[in-house]
Amino acid sequence: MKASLPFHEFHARSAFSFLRGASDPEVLMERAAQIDLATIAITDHEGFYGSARAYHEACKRGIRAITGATLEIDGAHVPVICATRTGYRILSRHLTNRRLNEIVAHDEMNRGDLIALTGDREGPVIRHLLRDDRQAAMQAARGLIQLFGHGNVYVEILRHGLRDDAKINRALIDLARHLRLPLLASNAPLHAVRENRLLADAFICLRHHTSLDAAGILLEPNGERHLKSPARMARLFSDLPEALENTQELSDRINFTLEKLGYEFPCYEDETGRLMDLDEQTQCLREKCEVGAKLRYKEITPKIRATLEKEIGLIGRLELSGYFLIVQDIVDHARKEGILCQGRGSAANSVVCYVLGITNVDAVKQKLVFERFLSEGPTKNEYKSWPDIDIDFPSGDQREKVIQYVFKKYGARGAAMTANVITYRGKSAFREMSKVLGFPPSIADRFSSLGSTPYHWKRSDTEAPPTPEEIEAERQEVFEGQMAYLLPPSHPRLVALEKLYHAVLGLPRHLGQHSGGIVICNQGLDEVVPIQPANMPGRTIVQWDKDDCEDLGLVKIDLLGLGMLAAMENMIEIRRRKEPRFELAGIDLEDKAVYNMLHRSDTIGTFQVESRAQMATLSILQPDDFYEIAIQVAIVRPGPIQGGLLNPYLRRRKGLDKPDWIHDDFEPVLKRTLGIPLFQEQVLKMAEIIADFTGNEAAQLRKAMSFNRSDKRMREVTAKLRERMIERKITKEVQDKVVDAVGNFSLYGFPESHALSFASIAYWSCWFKVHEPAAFYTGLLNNQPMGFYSAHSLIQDAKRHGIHVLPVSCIHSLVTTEVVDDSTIRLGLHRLRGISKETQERIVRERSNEPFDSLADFLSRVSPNAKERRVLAKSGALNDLPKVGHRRKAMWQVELPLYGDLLEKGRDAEEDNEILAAMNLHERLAADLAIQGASTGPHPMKLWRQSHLEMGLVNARDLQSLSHGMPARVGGLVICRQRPGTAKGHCFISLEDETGISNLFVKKENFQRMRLTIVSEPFLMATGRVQIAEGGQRTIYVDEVYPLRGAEPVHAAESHDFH
Amino acid sequence: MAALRACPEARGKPCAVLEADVDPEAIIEKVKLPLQAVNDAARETGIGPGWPLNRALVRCPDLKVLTPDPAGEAQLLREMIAQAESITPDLEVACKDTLLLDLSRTSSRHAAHLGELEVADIWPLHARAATPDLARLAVRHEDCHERLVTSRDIARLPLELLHFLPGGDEFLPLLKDWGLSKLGDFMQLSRQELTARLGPQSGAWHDLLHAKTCRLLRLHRPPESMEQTMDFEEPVTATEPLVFAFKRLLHVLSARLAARYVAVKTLRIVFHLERGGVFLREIRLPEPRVEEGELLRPIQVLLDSLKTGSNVVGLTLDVETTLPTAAQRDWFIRQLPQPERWTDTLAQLEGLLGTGKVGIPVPPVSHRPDDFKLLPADGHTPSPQGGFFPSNSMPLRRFRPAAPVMVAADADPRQPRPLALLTGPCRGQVMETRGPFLHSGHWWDPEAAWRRIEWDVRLAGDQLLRLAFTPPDRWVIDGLYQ
Repeated sequence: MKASLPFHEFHARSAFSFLRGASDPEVLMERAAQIDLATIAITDHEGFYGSARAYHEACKRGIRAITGATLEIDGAHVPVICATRTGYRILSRHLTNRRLNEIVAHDEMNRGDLIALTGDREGPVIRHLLRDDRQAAMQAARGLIQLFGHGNVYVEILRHGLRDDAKINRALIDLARHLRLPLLASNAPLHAVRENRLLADAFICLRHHTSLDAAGILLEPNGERHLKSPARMARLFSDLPEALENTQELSDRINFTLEKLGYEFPCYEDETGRLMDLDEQTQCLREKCEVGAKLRYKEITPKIRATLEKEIGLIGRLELSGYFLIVQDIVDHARKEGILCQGRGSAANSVVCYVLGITNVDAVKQKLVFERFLSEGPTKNEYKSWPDIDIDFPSGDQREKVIQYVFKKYGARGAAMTANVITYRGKSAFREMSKVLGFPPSIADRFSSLGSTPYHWKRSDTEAPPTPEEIEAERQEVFEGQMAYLLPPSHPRLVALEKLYHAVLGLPRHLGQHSGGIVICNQGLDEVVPIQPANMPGRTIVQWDKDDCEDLGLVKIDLLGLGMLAAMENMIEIRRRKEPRFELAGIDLEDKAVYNMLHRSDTIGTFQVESRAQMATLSILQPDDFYEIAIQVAIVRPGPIQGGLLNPYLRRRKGLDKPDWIHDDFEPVLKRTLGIPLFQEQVLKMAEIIADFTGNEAAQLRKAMSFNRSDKRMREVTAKLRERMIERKITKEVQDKVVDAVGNFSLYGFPESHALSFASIAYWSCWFKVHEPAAFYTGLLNNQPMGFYSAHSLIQDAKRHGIHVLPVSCIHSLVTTEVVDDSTIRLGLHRLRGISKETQERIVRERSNEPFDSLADFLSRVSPNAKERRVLAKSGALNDLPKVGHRRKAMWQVELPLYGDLLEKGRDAEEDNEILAAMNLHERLAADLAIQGASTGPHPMKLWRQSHLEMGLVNARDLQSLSHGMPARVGGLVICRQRPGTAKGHCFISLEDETGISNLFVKKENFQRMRLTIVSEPFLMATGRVQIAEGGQRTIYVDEVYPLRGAEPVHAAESHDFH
Repeated sequence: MAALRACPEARGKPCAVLEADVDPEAIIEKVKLPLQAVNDAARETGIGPGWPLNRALVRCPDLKVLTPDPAGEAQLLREMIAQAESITPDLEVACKDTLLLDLSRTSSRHAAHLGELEVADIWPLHARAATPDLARLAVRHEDCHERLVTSRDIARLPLELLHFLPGGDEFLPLLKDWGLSKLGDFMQLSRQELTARLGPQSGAWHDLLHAKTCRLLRLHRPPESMEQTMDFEEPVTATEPLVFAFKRLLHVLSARLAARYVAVKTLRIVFHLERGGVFLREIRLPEPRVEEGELLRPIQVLLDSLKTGSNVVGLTLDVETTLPTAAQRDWFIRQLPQPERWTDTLAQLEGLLGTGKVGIPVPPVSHRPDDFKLLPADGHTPSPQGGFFPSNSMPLRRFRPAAPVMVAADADPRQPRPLALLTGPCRGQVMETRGPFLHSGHWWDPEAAWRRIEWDVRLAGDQLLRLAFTPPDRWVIDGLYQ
């Protein structure tokens, strides 16, 4: 059937042409398969953006996706197709040259590796014919021949049902005969099906910054630019069979798809800059491991040696030695620069990574399984899956230094960040589509986004997935609910808005930069994938996102930023002033004081275990060793909580329940987590045991679990899992439990090694809080914003732990917050909002040159601008200057213009006068909060309590001594409001006062009733009953919430809200 | 007040007006909007102007949120001005809810009426002071109402009142940071020191608060209307008496225009009809005119083509004025050397074709066949567009309007192919077809969405036609190829 209808489409554009195509590449391929198109080329505008996804979908559908791109040459759009791998490499480099605006030589384009088409009405030839200029059209066609070579240019014939098609096509045929060029039938589709024309029109409007009403002839005259079947094209071109036959000829001629991408792992360079061969690299890796092992282990036991040998052997066989060496080189560079770093993710399963210094978790000691990181299973012919090493660096400048090192080392054509495809989401989709339809922007302002998108994938695969009609009904219901307050249901354009809104949701909008994924290839990355500049100066991105890169076998390294590492770097530096040889690795992981602090849930400011939910669990779990901290980190997360893993684990941990192994064979796997499949590794192992999954299938399952792009992969893998279990006659109950365990991980689960990496940072942060509190709070304050608590809450917590926090002072403060002694810290000038970094540095520099002898001297030497002078005076930072005394005096003085030496005497004479009254405590507090978001003074609740003793509110400290069920009334500053998805609509509020934090629980019904009060008021008072949870933590079960009368909104610090 | 007046059922209940004009149904989405004003009932619950709506709703859950009513506010102001003018004509509109009255030349008896003013069932608040700006500040505070206030009284007022002086918003936060809470605190500071720090504006405020400066009012003078109305003793049935009437009106108008150095841009004529109702006509002049004769000519052209359907019992003539053109006609070649003749021509054409049907057509603005846009013809020529390239070389003689025909077609409902023309000016079997040519557009608007399928056909008699099919079943002959 297919053979009798020779038609292949060579000029299709996907939504990755950004406002020039209206269908996802996957959708195009799906449709192509439905209508029996055997070959389809995606020629996205100026790039290979959609090719990777198209290729994958085409492979699944059994059709062929050809790679190409549309080049914009002198304003005309020329579709170019890669006929060979060389052609792909040429075009990829050519696209990079165009994007980066610099020429790197590539092979000639006219040797038959690339095929050019004359294009559509925006093409170089037809655009002249539209103006009846045949001469210019001929000239343009000759230009194409010169560029791509005779025999490599096809004259594209389009039939879109337009009146002038015949005239233009006659001219094109004449031109082709004259120049002896082959004709090529095409429909130049912009979308998959006719209905998508609506979105294509909307995109045209967005591209031209106009509305549908004003777009006029910019819009398509009809909806014919969709994928057409070979049968349909055969009817359309029945009078021109050669144009159809040529599509077959061209299809036969092209022998390249992305399968033959030709990406090779980067090779490691020796000291001379020579690229090593594979054996040399493995040998080098072995040597480096040997050196590293001696540093890491006091004694290299036979077990360690055997593990190392096994890993190095496998790495060598998989030809990955260069990759490990390159990662180690990056880590090494960071260490040399004094940048803290730590590998996370499944890499921590590897002893090689441990001894190379990439990770800090001893895989041998923790009995981690290397195969979860790397296994022999997937071969190059099977599903490709390369190891993924993620490294955390201190966020900010330090991480940027490392990224720049990689760019510098591998060059702009050797390394690039992976892209992040920004898609149309609720708000952006609505904003753009309503704009196109001519609705006023205020409608879009008031449109609240969908929140969470309806979740269609059901955990139990016995339930049928929703039908398209059900999904459509659900969508419509949600949309109607959202529109209820915005537009009347009878509005004539509502239907169009709804269609456009749903059509555009999820389509790519633009390419961003992935937060840390970097692709390296020291043999010409620009010939593997086009590179383009990122928004950030000095950075480049590839045209594919991280999943596309991974799918095509490009190795990426994630260089991620972690605020806590930046803080910890600061803490270590302070600690080293006392103990120069201090190393994190030297910290005792069995420090009783640290575990005691965890048992007390006194973890404000620490890493991962500081949230309210973590604290509540800590007091129940009472971790006694490092592994239990890893469990604590992993278990208080949406996946395990929603999957109902938390409570069974806690009960088993306390000995109230016996472990349930689900299946007897699982006991060795689940023993450490008491029968709870908590870690990804365990789930994979379970699949291996119960369904006989091969290494490759397990890799697919792992990818599906961590893949956030589509539920489809998950459905496919679970179906396979269940099928295998049925074959093996596993009981239904066990099947359900196994499938449930997999489902929980799709909601976000941790690999064990990752949990251990995070647990070590969590433990270290706790250690600092216990043993170096001044350094701990200093590190945190210097790296705000981060974590769960505001600077204000951290300062209050510091004070409760006996740390004396000194205010910002122009005489004493450095730019950053600094430790004065073991129990005193001095806030830095960086805390003052509105003071530029330059001014902060100038203050410190001028002061070190010569102390300031007066306010006038300060102002003349530092020269802060008018706004900065006011901020400095209001914050009290000038109080320590001679003859200033209080803030208002400084505020009065700084307003005077500077006359230099001219009138200095007059200023001095005036300095003694008290014109304005000094600020009282309340005013100082308000000023601190306005400028710094925090205050070193008393807690606002302390001031409030002094004037409202009659209210008799229980403070946070006294609350801990009340017994269960007692009525209580508490009040405080709201520091957090939470309504997590796992809490079924109930609300958690944390109130802070001068003694600590009180936790409130508001039932869903009560929350709805008192919603406005809860979300609007900065200070709250609540009445209810005390509830003592399992761990002894008190919570108020709230009956009523009131605004706290008499509390000043200006005394409120910012809260973290998730509701 | 205006918002309350527009919503009588809210009287006596706590109400607030938002600063932004938003849909009251959707206010919950804008919970952080500040309140512009609150009524007494709302104030009693502890909220006030400037509060964010969300916190105001916490304190006063029954708060009724009203949207500003700009039209109502303008009406109230007009009423207030009308009342105030009964006391003195020397008044300034200080802002949309405040009037400044100069009582220096008003007798005490007249001034006493100040307390008796009534606007829309309420008595406006008033305060008297030695200078207009002090009065303006004083009226904002209840302690000063119905009193003659001095600088000493002003000193007791809150500092926030500075907000009502020009530029006050800029410095108010700083003055608050200085710890000042009363205007008196500000007045106590040295004028010289203040000026040195905050610039001359602060010195001006200082003088103003100490009543050391008194400015002149920017007197309120309503714009003068040029409208004239004439009632006829007997209903007019012919054009001639109307022309005579217009001559009289234009004579007066022309003199008034000349005295004010303005010219007519648009003439608005209202014919009052015997059977009741009115008949409106508007004449836009391509060039501003003043001369009586030049104004009369387009009116005469209008009258020649006027069909009112009833006798005229009166007419009203109003004009929109503008500055006269300053070009020197004799020295420069102008695009319209005799604009009055062009006006006459346009008016005649419009009388013949109907309003809105005269203009300069410009090329199509959409793919819809025969679509074009009409630009106003008052002396502007559109910029030349690129050339037009016909889709085929045969000239097409279009039917206006297109001729509906019955066509026998094949069974394809999406793209029916014509087989024979059964009715209309050209009938017969279709021998040959070319097409279909597909056009559609404006899909986003159900009322305006269109779809059209065209065929070029050759009939048995060798006639070449353009046929167009509009779903579901309408066929028309669009034209004949020559």
